[in-house]
Amino acid sequence: MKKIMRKIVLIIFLTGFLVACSDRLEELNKPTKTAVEVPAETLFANGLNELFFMMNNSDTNINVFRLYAQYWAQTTYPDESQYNMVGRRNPDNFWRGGYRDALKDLDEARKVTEQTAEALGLSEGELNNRLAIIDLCKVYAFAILVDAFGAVPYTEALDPEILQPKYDDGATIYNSLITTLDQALAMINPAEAGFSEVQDVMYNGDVEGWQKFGNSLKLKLAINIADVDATKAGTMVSQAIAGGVFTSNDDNASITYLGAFPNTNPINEDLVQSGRADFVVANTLIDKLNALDDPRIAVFADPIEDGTYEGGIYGNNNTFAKKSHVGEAFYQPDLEGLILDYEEVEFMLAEAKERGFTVSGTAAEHYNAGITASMEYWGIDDADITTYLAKPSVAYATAAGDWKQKIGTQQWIALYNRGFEGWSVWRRLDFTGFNVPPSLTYDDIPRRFIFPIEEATLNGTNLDEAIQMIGGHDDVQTRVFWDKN
Amino acid sequence: MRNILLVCLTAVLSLVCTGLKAQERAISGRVTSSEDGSSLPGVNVVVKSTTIGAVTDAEGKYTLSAPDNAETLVFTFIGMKTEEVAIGGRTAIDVSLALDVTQLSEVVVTALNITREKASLGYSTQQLDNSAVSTAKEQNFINSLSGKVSGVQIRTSNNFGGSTNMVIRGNKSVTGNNQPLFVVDGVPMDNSTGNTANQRAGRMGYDYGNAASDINPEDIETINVLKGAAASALYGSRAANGVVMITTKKGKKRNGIGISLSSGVTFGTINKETFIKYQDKYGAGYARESFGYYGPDGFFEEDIDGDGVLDKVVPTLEDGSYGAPFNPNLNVYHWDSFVPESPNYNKAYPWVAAKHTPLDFFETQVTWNNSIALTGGNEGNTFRLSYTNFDNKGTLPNQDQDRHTLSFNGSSNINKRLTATVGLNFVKTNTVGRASTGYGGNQMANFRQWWETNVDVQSLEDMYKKTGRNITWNGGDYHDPTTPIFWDNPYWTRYKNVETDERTRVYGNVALNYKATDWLSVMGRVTADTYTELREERQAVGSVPAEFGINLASEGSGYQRTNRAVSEYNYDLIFTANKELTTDLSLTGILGSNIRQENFSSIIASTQGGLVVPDLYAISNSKSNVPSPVESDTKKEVYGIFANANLGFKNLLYLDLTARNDISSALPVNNNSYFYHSEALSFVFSELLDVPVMNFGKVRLNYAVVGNDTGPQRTTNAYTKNDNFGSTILISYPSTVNNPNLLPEQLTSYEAGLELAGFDNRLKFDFGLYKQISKDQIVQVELSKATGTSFKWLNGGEIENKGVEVSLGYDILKNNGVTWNITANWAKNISNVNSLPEGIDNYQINSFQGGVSLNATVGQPYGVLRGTGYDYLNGQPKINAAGFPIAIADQVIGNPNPDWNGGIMNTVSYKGFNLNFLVDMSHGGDVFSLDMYYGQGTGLPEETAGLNDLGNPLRDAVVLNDPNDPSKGYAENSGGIIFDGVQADGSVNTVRAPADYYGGAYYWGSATRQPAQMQVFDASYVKLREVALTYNLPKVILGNVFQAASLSIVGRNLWIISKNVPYADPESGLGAGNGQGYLSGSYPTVRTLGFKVDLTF
Repeated sequence: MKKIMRKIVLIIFLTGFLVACSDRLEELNKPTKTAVEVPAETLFANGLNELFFMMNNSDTNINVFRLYAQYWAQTTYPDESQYNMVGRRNPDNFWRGGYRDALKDLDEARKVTEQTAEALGLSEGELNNRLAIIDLCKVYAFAILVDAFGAVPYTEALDPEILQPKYDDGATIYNSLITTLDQALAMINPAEAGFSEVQDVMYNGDVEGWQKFGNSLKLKLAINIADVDATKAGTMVSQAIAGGVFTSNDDNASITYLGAFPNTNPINEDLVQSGRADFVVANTLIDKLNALDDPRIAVFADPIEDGTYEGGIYGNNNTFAKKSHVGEAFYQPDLEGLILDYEEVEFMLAEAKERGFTVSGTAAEHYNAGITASMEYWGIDDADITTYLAKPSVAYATAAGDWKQKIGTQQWIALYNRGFEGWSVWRRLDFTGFNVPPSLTYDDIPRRFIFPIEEATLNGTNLDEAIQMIGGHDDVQTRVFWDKN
Repeated sequence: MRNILLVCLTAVLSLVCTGLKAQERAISGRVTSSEDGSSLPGVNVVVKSTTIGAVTDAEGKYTLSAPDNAETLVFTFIGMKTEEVAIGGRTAIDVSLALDVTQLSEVVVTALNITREKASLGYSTQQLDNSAVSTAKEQNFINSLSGKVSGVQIRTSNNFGGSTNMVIRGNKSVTGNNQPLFVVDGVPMDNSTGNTANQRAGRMGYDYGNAASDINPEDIETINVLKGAAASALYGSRAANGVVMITTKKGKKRNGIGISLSSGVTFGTINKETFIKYQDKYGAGYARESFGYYGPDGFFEEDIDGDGVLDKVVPTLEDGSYGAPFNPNLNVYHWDSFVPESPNYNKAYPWVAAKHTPLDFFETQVTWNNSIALTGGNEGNTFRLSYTNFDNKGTLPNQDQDRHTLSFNGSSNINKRLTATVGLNFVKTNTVGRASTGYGGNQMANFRQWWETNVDVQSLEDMYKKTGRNITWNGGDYHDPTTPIFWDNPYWTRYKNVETDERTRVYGNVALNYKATDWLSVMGRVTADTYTELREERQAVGSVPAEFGINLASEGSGYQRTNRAVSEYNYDLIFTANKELTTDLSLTGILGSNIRQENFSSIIASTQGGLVVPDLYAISNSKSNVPSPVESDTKKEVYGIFANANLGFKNLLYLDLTARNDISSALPVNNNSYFYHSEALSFVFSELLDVPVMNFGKVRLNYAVVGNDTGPQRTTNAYTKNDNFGSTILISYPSTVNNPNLLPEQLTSYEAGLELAGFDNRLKFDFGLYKQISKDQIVQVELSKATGTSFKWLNGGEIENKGVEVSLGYDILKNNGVTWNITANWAKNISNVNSLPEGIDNYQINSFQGGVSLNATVGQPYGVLRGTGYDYLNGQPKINAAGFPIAIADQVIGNPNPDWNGGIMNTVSYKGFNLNFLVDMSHGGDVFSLDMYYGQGTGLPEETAGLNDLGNPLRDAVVLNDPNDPSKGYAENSGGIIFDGVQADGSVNTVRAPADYYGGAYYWGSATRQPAQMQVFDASYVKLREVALTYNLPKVILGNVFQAASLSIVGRNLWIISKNVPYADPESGLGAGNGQGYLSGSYPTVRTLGFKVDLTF
């Protein structure tokens, strides 16, 4: 009996010993193949890269805006061209790309930058530049989400402690973004260093580039709210110009994609690697380019067998072999990605001028500069540019329609590889020319993305409030706050 | 049977008592059964009123030294009447024990391999013997349990080499594992599938089978299913879902070496009822009439033969069959008209339905199962050594699984007190040609969802075999059939895009049992289960690009390999005390400790951007830089101490108490220790009552609380490293946020049951009621992506399962050499999600293609299907003005949980003949069919080309009497169909919906019409699951060479007596796991019929 007792005691002792080893237990449960701490720059680079992915990809599950802008049409399965957002949950995927993939990494990069500044020995100027750069990217990404959905989580977003973040209305978010943008522009100092050349995939460490980007972004936000708050927009335009916006294609907010996956331009995956034949250029664009005899047609599209250009009927099925394919340039893996560019700035300046804001030069000059910037970007000869600008159907004085129609049409053409912005310009300037898919009406062309389908189950109460915020209907006809006229 | 079991017991327990001392005398003897005179090993022989005693050995012999004054010996053995024998002056006392018919006298193996008399258990277990799994063998032995145990739900996936979902008493965990724990001779077996998230969500990928399928049915002696938490409390955490305890065959003492041989071959063919029945009236295309998309009449038009006249060409790029009506007088150019190697090259030939449909793609399954076992033993040592080869050639071309199992069991009495036992198993499984499941790359998805009925499978085979190239029916450009747009030539897929895998597994245990005194023994045991696995996936150069590799990019070719290593070690130290406290009161006590280590590591590597050199499957053969491999390496240790006391009073009342405390490394250090317990009561009321027809009656009651931990590495956040962008380093915030504040989960369970036997034990009845509540669940909750992440580990939520189980057996005939027994099992489980963490009211378990998801929704049963549903008006589906059912978003459209399931087993014996047949059934429950969702949409199944209510082809155009006035009704020749339902005003729908193109009555792509609910079907089935006829050769024929010989004819899945899911087996699916109720690319059921010979020398 004594012997047994001794053994029992031994077991208890043994167990006690193990309990005492809580260090060992803790050690066992630590991540072994993933890092618990990482350099902030790597998070920043990932967030920025994701932002480019979000805006540039052509995955029918995610970014369908080359279709919504009617640049492209589909061949066998035209669901997305017919604005079916539910089947592939496009709003969910675009939203996820914005929040989880781009914004959260930027947000985390900001936190880690602050936490590690001292350890890294960053100067105050360097730290400020890095924080300001991150903020500029965040402002850009949030603005896109507002532009897409109308209202989105903002004040409570990006915090996994808040499991169900409430939404804020678009106008409020814009105001806050503008404040953040101003603070960032105030902090940024081109005399000091920013992120390292290798981690800054947009400007390779050139802080001045970021400063121009910030001012151009400010111009963009100003133009967006021009119908809602002209006074504020006017002030912002003046400030942005004074701060220095893009003045050439060299300033473009771009990323240099590489020759091999996964570092290729994301459209390469859909056009080339997939081996599929889902997209052709839409008749909406081809008809317009044909009518204007626009030399960019040879870049944007490939001719069909007879040497002419024929667009796929937008919203319909199309025979891939018989319609103009997307131009050769877009099949290149290293095609540059863009999120903001010079032509856009010039068209916005033209628009600002027409809206009566303080801008030097004439609307026509900026309009011509916008077209020229686009044509130069796509490698059109100077002579052809001159010819084109002189055409009565192009020249600002003689082109058809009011200034919204003229600027809108040309900016839409220039934004060919920027589907989301092409669609936004149509929403803002309401130029005519879009086609209506079969069995739909013009009013069915979306003016916003519906809220992510999963928000109903994951964040239902707040979603209901958000629907009230945008006017009571989560539909595509509801306009985002700046889409007034 | 019982004797074999007893021998096994003896091997562990038998000990000879201590040597002679002064004033003592040796008494020895032999104990036999009064029934047949056979030896009874393991009988307790005790000198009355002392602790002096012995246990009989394998031959029923015992020796003990009794004090001089000893008067009486007491012989006790479960299932036998206790005998008290006066010693008198004798030194040799032989006793024969009589069966105690008042007891069921069943001995069952319970947790930690403790053998118990079934009557003493206060919880529910059900035992099966070897024949349940080895007579009509399955690739995965778990399939053989279907219908044989009440309260157990088994879903056979039909995937070749695939996994089987087994759930006991309902799903208890929202996101965790709901499969029971498998234990072989005390070795807990890993039962993971390692299937990818994409596979589980029905997107694509291979079903690698659940690891418990490595257990060789030939080596199984008995299977015990411990259903409730009380039964399994001693296994703790992992046993919350029940335990399948497997005891393997052991050696026994005998003269010479015994040899058993078993050889079987079965042939399988697919059950056509579980495959699509194609319409044979229309061919390739998405619309008969042109949309201006291609030529008129559903063909492309081009002058192929150069005669200046436009020829008609099949739209090969369209993977649907809504095209032109077949017309034997119309010659058109088909896909193979453009293949120089084809006899049809440059020829137009008649436009008719294919002679060889995909049914001809299937081959005959051939399964060989051969095994040999050697057994032997002497006084102190026994062994069994067996080898089994299982070879299964599947129903798809180039599909084979080959499994070798080598198994050794031995026991040795080192001295009188110390016994050592060893069990060792080596299993090697090689598989070639698993087939992708779900939507992507799955040949069944191709045949059921996206197919042209004009395509002849024989021609595809000829073209592949003749050229070795990927010449497909589905060329993006019909001029070039080697440029697949969506689908490869299916033979190319099978022969070139070959998956292979191999698993090498070693598991076993070593135990030392020391009998310290006659009432106390100590066991030390080490168990190990380890395996390594290599999985290789290939995509040949020339295939249609598909998501492949680590980054799941569109890849035209590629190679991916996964190396996995899984191991688990258990170290047990267990004290067992067995004591008669008084004559009426007995105590069995257990005190033990367990240390468990679980290790998992894996590395996945793939090529990217395609392969440089075709047919060279090496990571270095990658066109682009190789993506960072995905590595994982986790460890978990759990330290447990436990105690168990079983108090028995006069064979009448048994109280069983357990307590356990675990400390798990997977939980945060502050909350890593958790205690749980169980209390079970068994009341054998038949001891008190004397009802003439009743032989046995027992009531059981129990209550248990079981704690649970979680998987490793869920408490500390870590970032995700992405592939570098050039030289830029990319790291992202985790998409799953970990939680340093997790608490252990808790499962509470209540159970009550009644066991009865009567009419000379011919009737046996078992009735059980249970309720289980799992709370504080550790759930990977999906969050709004606006939080910046996708998931977070959280505690919370509560799932309740309650149910009834009935098992009823009756010997209809039991005389004149004829016996006929019917045993029926029936069970019903009702689950309810009471709450979810943090106020979330819906948790998405899986999101499936087709806009359908599987959810845990508060207030609903676990795992409801949600998707677009009908918009009901007065209980009728609302139909829109165009005649289509209206769809509204996010409705509960189905519940995959069956209302009840059960089985009826018949066993008839006459002379040497033995006939078994099992009818297995499941009633209720829903399944969503993506096969129908797309398959109807592309016009494949026959009902999409039938006649409408007017007797016209429903694919004819809808024609109004007056095109300007719909109120004048439809013309006599109108096509289209009228959906059942009501118009917005409540009137019965009379609007005819067009069905003449893919976008009509069967369209899948609309969010506002044709709700997903239309493709939800009742998953009930009744199946003739198993039939086996065995003939045991009589002794006269056997002579002296054989001890036993039998011949069997066995059949499985011979007949689906009833089902409601069209063209598919309602059970088929993605495999084991929580993602149930979804059919996509369902594999047909294989009917097997075979022969088996068993010989024992």
